[in-house]
Amino acid sequence: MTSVGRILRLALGAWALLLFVALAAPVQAQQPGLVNPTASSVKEQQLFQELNRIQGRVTIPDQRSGVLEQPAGRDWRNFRDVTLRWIGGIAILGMLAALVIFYLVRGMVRIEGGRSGRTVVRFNAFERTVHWMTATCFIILAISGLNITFGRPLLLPLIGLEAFSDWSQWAKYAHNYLSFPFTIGVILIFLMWIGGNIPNRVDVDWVKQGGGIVGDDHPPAYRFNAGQKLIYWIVVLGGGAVAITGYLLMFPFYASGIEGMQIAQVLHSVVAVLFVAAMLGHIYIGTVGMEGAFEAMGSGTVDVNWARQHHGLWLEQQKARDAAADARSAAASPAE
Amino acid sequence: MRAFVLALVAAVVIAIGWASFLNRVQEPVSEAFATQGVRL
Repeated sequence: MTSVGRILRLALGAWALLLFVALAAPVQAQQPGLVNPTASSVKEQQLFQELNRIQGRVTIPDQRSGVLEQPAGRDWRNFRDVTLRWIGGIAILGMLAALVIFYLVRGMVRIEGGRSGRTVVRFNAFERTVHWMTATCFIILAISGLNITFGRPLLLPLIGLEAFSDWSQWAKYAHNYLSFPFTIGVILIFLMWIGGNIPNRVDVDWVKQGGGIVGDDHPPAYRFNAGQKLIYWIVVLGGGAVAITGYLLMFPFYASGIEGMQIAQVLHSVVAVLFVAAMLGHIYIGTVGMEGAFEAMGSGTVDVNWARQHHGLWLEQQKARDAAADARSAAASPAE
Repeated sequence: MRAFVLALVAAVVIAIGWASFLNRVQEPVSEAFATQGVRL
C-alpha cells in the first residue's frame, strides 16, 4: 500500500512539473532579447534617409493624408511645442513685469494743473465704435489663441480633460468667427487714421523728450504722437499679418501646401504673441498709466488741459478750426 | 457706452455672417475625410 502511494505521489509530481514547463515555455518565448521580430524590418530613420518622408496610400478622398511624417513637420512641431512658448512667455510676462515696475516707479501721469472743466471732442462715435469692435474682437482672439499655445500645459491640469475640451472647442469657434470683424476693424482703422499717422519731424522731438511719460517734459504733438503712431502701425501691419496668415490656415490647401501652412502658422503665432505684448502697453497707457486718457475712447471727449499737455499742436488746430467755423457762420448770418 | 454696445452688436452680426459663409464653404470633417468606397 505504501509503495502504491509513493508511486502515485511521484506520478503527480511529474505531471505538475510537465504542466509548469508547458505553461512557462510561451512566456519565455515572449521575453525581449531572445527573439526580435522587427530585427530585419525597415526602421523609421532608414525611411527618412531614403525617402525624406514617410508616406503611403490611403483610400479616403484626401490623398495628402497619406503623408505620415516629413522632416519639416518635426521642426514645426518643435517650434510650436517649445520655441513659441518661450517667445510668447517672455514677451507677454516680460511686458507685464515691465509695466508693473514702470507703474511703481513712475505712477500715473497726472493732468498738470488739474482738470479745466472744459472738454474738446477727441474721437467721434464712428471712430470709437470701430475701435471697440476691433478691441473686443482682439481680446477674444488673443485669449482663444493663447489657449492653443498655452492651454494644454497650463489650463488642462487645472480644469480637467472634459472641461478643457469643451472650452477649447468654443474658443476655436470664437477665434474663427471673430476673425472677420477684427479684420474689418483693422481695415477701417487703417483708412480712418492714416492721415494723422504719417511720421514727421515732430515725432523725433517727441521721442527725444521721452514723450512726456519718461521725465517731466511735455513735448508737443498733433492728433497722434509718436507712441500712438507706433501702436497704429503695429495694429495695421501686425493685424494685417495675422489676418492673412490666419486665413491661410482657415482655408487649408486653398493657397498653399503643408509647408506653406507651417510657415503661415509660425508667422501667425509669433506676430500674435508680440501683438498681445504691445497691446498690453497700449491698454496700460490708456487706463491706469495716464489720467484722462480713457475718456478719449470712453465718452469721446477729453479735458482741454489734458489735450494741451499731450497734444498741444492738435488743440491749436482745433481752436483755429472752430474759430474759422464761427467766422464763417457769422459772415453767413444776415446783418441786423 | 453707446459706441461700445454698438461695437459689440456690429462684431456679433459680422461674426454670424462670417460663420454662415464658412459653414457653406468649408466641408465638415465627417465629409472631407470620408469615402463612399468600401474595401473587401
